[in-house]
Amino acid sequence: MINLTTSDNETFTVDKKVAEKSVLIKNMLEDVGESDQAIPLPNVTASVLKKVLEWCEHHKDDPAPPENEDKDDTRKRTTDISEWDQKFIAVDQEMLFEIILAANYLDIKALLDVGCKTVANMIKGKTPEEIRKLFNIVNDFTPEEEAQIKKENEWAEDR
Amino acid sequence: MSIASPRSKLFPNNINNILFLMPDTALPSLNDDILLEIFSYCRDVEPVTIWVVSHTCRQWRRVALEHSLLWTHIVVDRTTARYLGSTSALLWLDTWLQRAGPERDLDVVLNFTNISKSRVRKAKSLRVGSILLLASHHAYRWRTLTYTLMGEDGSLRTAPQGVPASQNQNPMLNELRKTLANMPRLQSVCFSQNFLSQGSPDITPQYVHSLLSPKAAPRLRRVALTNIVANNDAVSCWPMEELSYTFIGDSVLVVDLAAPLLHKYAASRLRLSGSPGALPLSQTDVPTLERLEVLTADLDVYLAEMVRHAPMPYLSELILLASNPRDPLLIKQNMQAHDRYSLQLLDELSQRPSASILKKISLSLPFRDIPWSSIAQFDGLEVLRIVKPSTDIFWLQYPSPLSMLYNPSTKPLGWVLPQLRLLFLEETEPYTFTRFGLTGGADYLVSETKRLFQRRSDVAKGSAAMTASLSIHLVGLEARLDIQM
Repeated sequence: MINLTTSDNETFTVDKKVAEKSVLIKNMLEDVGESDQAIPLPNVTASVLKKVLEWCEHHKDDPAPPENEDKDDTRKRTTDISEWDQKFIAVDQEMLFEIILAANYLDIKALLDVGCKTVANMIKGKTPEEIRKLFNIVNDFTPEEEAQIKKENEWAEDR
Repeated sequence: MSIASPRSKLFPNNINNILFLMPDTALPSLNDDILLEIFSYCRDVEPVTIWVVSHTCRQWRRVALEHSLLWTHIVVDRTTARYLGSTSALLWLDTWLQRAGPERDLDVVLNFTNISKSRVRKAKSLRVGSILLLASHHAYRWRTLTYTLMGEDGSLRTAPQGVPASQNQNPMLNELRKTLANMPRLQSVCFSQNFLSQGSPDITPQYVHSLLSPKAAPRLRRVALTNIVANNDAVSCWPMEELSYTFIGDSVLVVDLAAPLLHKYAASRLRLSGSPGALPLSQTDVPTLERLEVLTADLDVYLAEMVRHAPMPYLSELILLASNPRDPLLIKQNMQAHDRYSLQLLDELSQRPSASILKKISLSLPFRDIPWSSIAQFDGLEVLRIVKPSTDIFWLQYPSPLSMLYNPSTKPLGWVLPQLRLLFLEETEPYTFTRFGLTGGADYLVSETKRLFQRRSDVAKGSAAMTASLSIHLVGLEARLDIQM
């Protein structure tokens, strides 16, 4: 079993196989060797790590993804998400973004993909204004950028 | 996040409900790498989205414009025209191509499906030929090309007004011929139209398809065609990994003119879809599919007949599809088609010298019993997949129907399909309100199946066994059961 300590000082004891879904933790364990000492995860809070570990537990037996995807493959990636992952990721936006950041930090590619696909699905079909509203994004374009975008929008004067 | 919790509890299963969870505080900001990953998915799913994100905020625009890779999927279709406008299509297409950088591979989609139906005025300005010509200036780095022209009456003209009808005099056609003579990176093409345009001077998918050659596109490996017919060219047996052909509309002409394409593109995988609505006029012209290893075909009388006469000496996998129509007329047609493919086709294939090469069969059988006697003729069969709607009484009777795999007259051990390793039995949605599905609990199903195959399991043991060890996978609508004998 492995101990993991979060940024808010909570310690989780998890199965090594589950923890090693994270490439970061796997590498740390390989570097440090067997130890009773908890691994500090200063960029992850307890509430987020709990969710991440829930995902790792469910996917612990998944086969490892291929190292190098075929560069000649002309088939597009999809944003399809498995039913279990859909339920897992049906959280509020703040948690969704925190999971994405944690997956990125912990180097859990498959979980990062689930988060990124979810955000991509949310963006799809929306206008910039709808996206700003959805994600609470401020329109911070400079006047020059605004002018260029206006020009690009003028192309669509007939839409 | 005051409204987040109640809503997520109310609708925990639907990812779209995240849309309702409006943030009332600033969200954690995502770094450029993560945004790049998100935008990459946006590009793959709906390429015009990359324009949208570039209009959202400074960080998103910077990330979008800094990465030319995000602009490499170029799509001209109704969705793109709706966002970027149709009168200025050449302008934004040119900008799109520039943002993709000068060297990167491009995936280009030009889809003019019904574009004149709802936007008659704008269709004029969406000059199909000019758009194709502009995109073709980058043909040297096309990786994939999709060109679809589907007018509601098939009359969408592609040549600008006033150009000469003759190919030799049309400068646009001449220029296109030149630019499409060099497509060294092209791996996959898809040409679709819902009309016949053989010999037409317009820049139709048919015309662009006619410019393909092994010299112009040496890396081409995947071809998907809809209502494209063969040209009078000398190319034959151009090796492809995959050829997909879809018939739409009823035209005996298409069948006869399309058949030579099956020979031209010597594919190892062939997918036939739709319905030709007619049989070839001359069945002696059915080409030999010399490299074909995997054949997938829709349930259709005419397709079945085409395939039945085609020599396929290396066929190792046969997949016959069928949907579950509710229309009684379609059901009747499909029952006829089923007889053609599951009985006549299988019987005919089993009599060929190449029958022993066929290792995998997948049959969708919405209306008929499993044709065990036809299947049993393939002694070398290793994988069998049967797909049936839950309406079928097969599920109620399971596992009894599998007793057909034992025939005492079969020598030496009485088991037909002695090499069968995997048997998949899949349940699909019912096409009527009646539903049977698997009955009995998992324990019952496992024990009854094992009891039925006990003697086969016994003879399959040992290195000198003449019967393969079999596993059965029951894939229901709600559960799955894997039974290892």
